[in-house]
Amino acid sequence: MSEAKTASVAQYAKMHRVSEQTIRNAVAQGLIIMPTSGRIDIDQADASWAIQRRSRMTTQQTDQGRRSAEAKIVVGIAKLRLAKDKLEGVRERYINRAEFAAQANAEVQQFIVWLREIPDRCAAEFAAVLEISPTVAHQLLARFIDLCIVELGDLAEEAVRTAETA
Amino acid sequence: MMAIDPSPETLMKINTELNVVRAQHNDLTLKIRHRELVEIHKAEAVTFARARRVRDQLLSAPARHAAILAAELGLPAVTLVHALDHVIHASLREISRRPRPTQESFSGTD
Repeated sequence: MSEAKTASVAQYAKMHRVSEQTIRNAVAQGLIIMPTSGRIDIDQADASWAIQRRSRMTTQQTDQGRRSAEAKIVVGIAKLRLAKDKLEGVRERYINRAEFAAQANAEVQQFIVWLREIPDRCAAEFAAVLEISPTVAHQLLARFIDLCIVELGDLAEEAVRTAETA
Repeated sequence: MMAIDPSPETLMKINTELNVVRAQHNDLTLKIRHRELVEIHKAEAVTFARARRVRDQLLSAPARHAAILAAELGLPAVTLVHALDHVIHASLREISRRPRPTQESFSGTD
């Protein structure tokens, strides 16, 4: 059985032209497993740590480095998708308050206009039902609509206020 | 699976885009905190509540006003109530079918 190649932290750091602290950090992160002997198993350390070291900083020529760089890019794309999804979620749930107030105001104003059109549209039929002249029917409906609008109060102001406090 | 170019530029581009998206998200969060944005379901709730109040008030208006108007014109009150009821129902039905006035985009979170 062949014996595993080992190296001290200092030797391994020198092999990869990094500081000893870098190797100790990789050991602390669990990427490099340090047995009780205190010597690093070179094969394990190369497979786990060395192949992905600095892969995002340089264009990768080797197969292992290329795979490592690709993995980092895939992770980046996944993070980006997640962030975009989160952003879309917020965008779908909220609307601009000022635009909402303006929209509510526009709707109320239009509704009042539609109410005021009722006498013009319904006077003839109304007159026929009540057997009164169309002019009287128009006046009656106009008066009725006026009373309704007064009762409803300032809808536009209310719409803007509720939009501001919602 | 799409082809990935494992160059440093690719990762940098992705990270840049990620930062842009995160900045946009933070901007929205800030707007929410400053009450510049309102939740759609809340906006709909207040709009529907107001619409219902207006509808109910209009539907009950003939019963409240017909007697006075009938007395002024010498008309039978019951007939006037029915006629006004018909006018209000028909008008509300017609208004509900009309397109809403456009304050163009209703989603101003961009």
